[in-house]
Amino acid sequence: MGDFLAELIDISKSFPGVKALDHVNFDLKAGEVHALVGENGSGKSTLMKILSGVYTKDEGKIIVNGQEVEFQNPRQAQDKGICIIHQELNLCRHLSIAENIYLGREPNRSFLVNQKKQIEDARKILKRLDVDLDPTTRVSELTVSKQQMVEIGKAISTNAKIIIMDEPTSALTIKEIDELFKIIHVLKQEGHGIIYISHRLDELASVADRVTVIRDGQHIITMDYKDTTQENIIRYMVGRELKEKFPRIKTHIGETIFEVKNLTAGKAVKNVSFQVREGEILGIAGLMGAGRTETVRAIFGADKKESGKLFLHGEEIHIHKPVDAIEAGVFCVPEDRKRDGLCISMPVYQNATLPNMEKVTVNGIVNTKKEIAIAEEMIEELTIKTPTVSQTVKNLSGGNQQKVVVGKWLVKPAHVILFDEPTRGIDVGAKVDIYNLMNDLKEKGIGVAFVSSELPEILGMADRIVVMCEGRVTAELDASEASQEVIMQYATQYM
Amino acid sequence: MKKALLFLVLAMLLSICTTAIAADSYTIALITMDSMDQHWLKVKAGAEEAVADLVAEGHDVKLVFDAPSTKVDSVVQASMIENQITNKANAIMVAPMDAEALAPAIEAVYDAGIPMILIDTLANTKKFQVIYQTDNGAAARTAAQELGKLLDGKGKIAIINAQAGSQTTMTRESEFRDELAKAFPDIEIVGVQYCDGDKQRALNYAEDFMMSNPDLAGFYACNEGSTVGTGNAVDQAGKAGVIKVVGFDFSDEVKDLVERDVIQATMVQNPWVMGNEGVKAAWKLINGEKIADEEAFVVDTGVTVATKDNLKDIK
Amino acid sequence: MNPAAAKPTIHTRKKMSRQTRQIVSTAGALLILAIVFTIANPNFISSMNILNILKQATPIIIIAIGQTFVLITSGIDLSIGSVIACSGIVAAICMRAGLPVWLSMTGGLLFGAGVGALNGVLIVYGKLPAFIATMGTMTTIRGLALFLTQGIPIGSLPKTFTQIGTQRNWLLNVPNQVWIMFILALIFGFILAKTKVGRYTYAMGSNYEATRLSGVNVNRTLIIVYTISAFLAAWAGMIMTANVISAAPTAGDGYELDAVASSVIGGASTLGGEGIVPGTVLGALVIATLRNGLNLSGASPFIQKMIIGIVIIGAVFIDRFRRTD
Ligand SMILES: Nc1ncnc2c1ncn2[C@@H]1O[C@H](COP(=O)(O)OP(=O)(O)OP(=O)(O)O)[C@@H](O)[C@H]1O
Ligand SMILES: [Mg+2]
Repeated sequence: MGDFLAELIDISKSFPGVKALDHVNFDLKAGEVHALVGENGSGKSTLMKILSGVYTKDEGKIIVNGQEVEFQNPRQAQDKGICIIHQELNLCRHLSIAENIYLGREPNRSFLVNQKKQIEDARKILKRLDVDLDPTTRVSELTVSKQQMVEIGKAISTNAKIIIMDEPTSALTIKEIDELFKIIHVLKQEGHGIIYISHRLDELASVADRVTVIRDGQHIITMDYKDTTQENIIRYMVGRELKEKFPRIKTHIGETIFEVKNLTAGKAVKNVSFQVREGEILGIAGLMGAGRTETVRAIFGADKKESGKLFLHGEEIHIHKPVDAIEAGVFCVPEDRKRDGLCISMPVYQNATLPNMEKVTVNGIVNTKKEIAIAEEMIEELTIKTPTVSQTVKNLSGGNQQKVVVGKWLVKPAHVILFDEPTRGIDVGAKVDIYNLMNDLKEKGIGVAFVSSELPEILGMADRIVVMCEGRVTAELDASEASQEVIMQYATQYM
Repeated sequence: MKKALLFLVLAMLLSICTTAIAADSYTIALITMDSMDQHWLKVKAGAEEAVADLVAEGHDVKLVFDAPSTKVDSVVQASMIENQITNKANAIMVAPMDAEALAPAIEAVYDAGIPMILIDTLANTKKFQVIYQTDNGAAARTAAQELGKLLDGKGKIAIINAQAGSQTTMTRESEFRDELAKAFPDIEIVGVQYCDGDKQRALNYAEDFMMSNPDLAGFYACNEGSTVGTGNAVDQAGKAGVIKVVGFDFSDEVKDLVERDVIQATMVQNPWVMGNEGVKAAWKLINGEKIADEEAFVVDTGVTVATKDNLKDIK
Repeated sequence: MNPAAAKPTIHTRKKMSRQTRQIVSTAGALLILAIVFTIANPNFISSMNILNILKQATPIIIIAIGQTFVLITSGIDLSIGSVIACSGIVAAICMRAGLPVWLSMTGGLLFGAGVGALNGVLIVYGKLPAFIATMGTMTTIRGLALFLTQGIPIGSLPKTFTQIGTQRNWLLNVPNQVWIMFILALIFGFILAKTKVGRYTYAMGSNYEATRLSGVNVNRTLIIVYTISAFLAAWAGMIMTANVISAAPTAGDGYELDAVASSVIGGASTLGGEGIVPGTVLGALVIATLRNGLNLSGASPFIQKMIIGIVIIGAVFIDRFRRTD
């Protein structure tokens, strides 16, 4: 068995109140992509953090290149050629690409950094990855996907043999995902081993050689991808048959609840108009950077509007800041949970009640019992995986954090809820939970609009679709007339 | 809105400039250690009155006052002096906060041919015409004599000083110690604390001294803040008159404490005289007259020992 | 989720211990100091000296509570020292003008609150960093204090006023100011731990943007927080003025840093999101005890400064070390 780059044998890990990993096995060969899938909180990230030295294991063995190793910190794992690309990118935005790639390992002549060599080396690496970028460009000027390329460049510059990608595609557009896959193929050819974590199971067809499924911290199965099907994987993941991936329901379409007229905001939103009607879900499609998030933020009052009008049930409303929107019953579930959605160092229940304080306070004094009751209800409803309501949000798995972001808006009565990428990082089962939730809202007569970069989701759930490109609405389609091709055509209209 | 604000600022700057341009043909600059302490304000008051007298005589004279806003920054004070050289002040009066650090700036004034008058404290240079100062050493020796007599030459005392790092207050401490050791060898100094002139801190320190030395017999406090804080601590501990306090400087609060016999004696300097005489000397020097035959001439403006008996006469 | 139901007991205990742990560890440090100093000088543990420590710590505790609020929002209030001086002066001027003591004190306290609100407005609407805004008011208010007094402290204050400082109370013979501190600590401890304003304070420090997008009126909350800080500084100003029977324009210089140190020893983080009032009170007591104990043991004042600095760094270091575990 000498051809394994790494073997994880019988790994166990507990956190207070949680057994995150329970005797899990995992291995990786040179030149393969091994996909690791499982529900939110099943322990994928924890397992990878153990392999990359972020956490220490409680039990088990790690074997790298045939040698047993003990990692006390990420540095030791790096020295053994293991590199992890976290979902949250860790780049210094104010430094150049070359500076980022060699951060902490600058080629030097005595005390001075050898700028020329650094830039040349970085150029070579970018060339190897077949990316057309100038190494002196500042990282802050790059798109998310290009930043990810820089992360990968950084990984291979350390001569990492094992590259771990934790949900690398969740912030990428379709085109960018293709680019990423190309690079993954290059890396495979060069003999790297890649561990690939994703909740987008349809991607696996393009990259995965083998798949391992874990559930509730336990190893379920490892199989060759060609011997299995997506349905199969899903069954192993959730432990049951998933009836429908997109549980669309039909309701009677009523009057317009909410209307946006000629909204212009900042550089990214130009003269946008659309309506949200009773009994339908509106999907907002487009490529990354099309101005969808900016549109939603401007409506919600998170950013300034230059011009445009908003109507709720036919009456004009004025929203200058989020408080106004919330008072009017217009809510927004933001895209970036770490930045805009959660107070990461506070417990789950306090995050849940943050927008709902009037429900749990009398004369400004907080009733913690009530808070906990509300939070427990939310946990139950969204099947959030957490030992208790007072767990710090930081300690939840990514997907469960996302559920908290969504959940905190469901406590209050709403007229309209705008979801921005509501299922980002959520497992298949939980996605269905969120879809069902949107269906509930739709049935109750609440206006629902959601922004998504996943076309299958838009096609599967939206009753009507608004397509945006370069800050403008380029099409408004009925679900029946929409298809992947049509949407893509409108989404690239001005390009 | 922004423009209006900018305009306002510009207008203010302009008005400052015009007053500066319309300045009188003679400018005397006064730079003290800080602009907060009463002591310096009295120096300033004395200087202002002397200038007012000159103006009344029909002379075209103006006083420019400047001082660092924090107490311990000698670099700032040095740059203030340099600014006055640049502004071509006709005479400069300085109370240097650091004898070493300010010597070069003071020499620069002298070398530029501008009359240089020191106030209150000496600097480590001979390049000035005259200094008006309290001989702090002499005053501290007087204080030691007063406290020694009050204690009949025996017992424990503690010192509450203002700033470690200030020439003046350190001289007040060291000369006091020397004199006490010589004249009253049976008096023991149990310790010293530096309160930075903060009354609340002085009070806390005094309390702690009384706590650690239940038989404490006296305090020596080295400036106004220390004196008031120490006096109040003794008063609040119910030890007024039992523990003797000899202080430094004078204010309404000190006066009140002396009146109530909490403080038995305090050394009162004459900062007003320093400022007043300083300006007069400056005027003479500007007009080419001499203050004394030698340069670096020292004038002691003296201290008055204020006690309950002579309190009425202290202004 | 059945397993979750079985676990809360474990976890509630753990959750409680995070705050209690902070309190226990700070209290433990206090106890160790007390033992060491008692060995060095038996007078240390006398009831008289304990009262002294409480009294000496009082102004710092009061301002440190305010600073804790500000630190939790990841801000800083540098204007505290100046507010101490100027609010005392405002009250003293009112008293000298013949106004009743209670009215004069209200004047001083309102003045303080006003400066705090101004700080808040500068930060919120002027979009200035807290450090810059409060540094500006620090200097401005110090200047105002000097201007109002022309540099000369205001003495001869009425006895009814000075009693709020040192007059010993029928209750346990404790000076009034200690009771005032105690009551303020209770009130503001409650506000921070149990009210909406307190919760928003933590939320803003944890993630300002998420809090704003949750519909919290962040502007108002920030203004309230800075107002609380300066209001408490004004209280300290009243007490310090009463203690020395003198409203000095130079009072309170540098106290803002003592406040930061106390909060941080008590578990607050300058990065925001963390801090509790009981911790801060204990933190201020640690500093006061250290000063007092070192004074009693006759250590050189220069060594004392070094020791206090090292203790601050050490306390925070140990805390971080424990937390990253
Ligand atoms: N530092 C921590 N402290 C306490 N519990 C933790 C910590 N990190 C992870 N957990 C818990 O361990 C379990 C596994 O989490 P992990 O992040 O590995 O899940 P995941 O499979 O990556 O999920 P997702 O797909 O949502 O990212 C979760 O229940 C999580 O709450
Ligand atoms: Mg994860």
